[in-house]
Amino acid sequence: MSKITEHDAITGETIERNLNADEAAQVVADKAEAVAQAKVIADKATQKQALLDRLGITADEAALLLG
Amino acid sequence: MGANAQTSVPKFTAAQVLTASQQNLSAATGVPVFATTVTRDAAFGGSNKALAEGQLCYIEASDIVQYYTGSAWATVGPASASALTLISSTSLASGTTSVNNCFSATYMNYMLVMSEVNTSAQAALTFRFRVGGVDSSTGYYSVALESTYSAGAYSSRTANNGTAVVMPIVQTQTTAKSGGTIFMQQPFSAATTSFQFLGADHETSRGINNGSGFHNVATSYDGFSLILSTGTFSNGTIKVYGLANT
Repeated sequence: MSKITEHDAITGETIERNLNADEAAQVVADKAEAVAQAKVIADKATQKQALLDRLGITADEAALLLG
Repeated sequence: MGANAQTSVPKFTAAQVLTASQQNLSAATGVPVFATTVTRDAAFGGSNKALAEGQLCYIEASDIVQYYTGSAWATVGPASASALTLISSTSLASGTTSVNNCFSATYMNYMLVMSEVNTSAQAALTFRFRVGGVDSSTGYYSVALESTYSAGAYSSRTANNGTAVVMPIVQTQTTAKSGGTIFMQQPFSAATTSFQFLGADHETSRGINNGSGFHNVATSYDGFSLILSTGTFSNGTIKVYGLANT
């Protein structure tokens, strides 16, 4: 069970508790979104490298061309 | 020297007939005003009032009010107003760390500083506003640009009416400890809130993460949550500072 730590800035009290149902569902959704975002970035990097390989140039050389 | 400044604190004797100027001077000595600390020190003792504990004065040169402790002058005020006020300091823990009741009507704008952050596993970090202990999970618009130290080229993570601020300012690591800063404007106002974040990863294979955006929900928030996509915080602190309105 995932947990949340809550701190109250007025009282100074800090507690750790289990996530409630809504929070737990949000965590599942968050994880899925994080994975999707990471996949987008990884895919772009793969596509970029494939293009560089086809062109026969390095990333630095590509940056020079685009700069 | 101003019109209220004086060079003596007179002491009158029994049956003495006072002139108008002496009466005026006497009436003005509730908190005597001096041009400088030098003229203040010269005004007491001798034929003047003896300097003793509890004496007050105002110094024109430095615009301060002082009191005499019996052995030295101490400043009453004004207290130097700080541009930054520490509101809360919270140790990062669990998979989510929330801070409640840190935003209020006292400050319009805030600065959040995370330091020595480490986690149990590499994870993306997100941010949400919250009120009454409940996160707001809609209406986030943000772009986070990240780049490794080696490549220099940016990639981006976005939230387009998303459920949270995608803010990978601390891509986690197993040994190094990272840090980041978030600025936000008017989170406590019942208006949309803007934010900017800056982060630097201490993992040499990784890099920096910068971004900004806004929360398109016109609600007053009193706190926030920092959420890891996986794992838990194993170290770190989040400090909340209020930026003085004036």
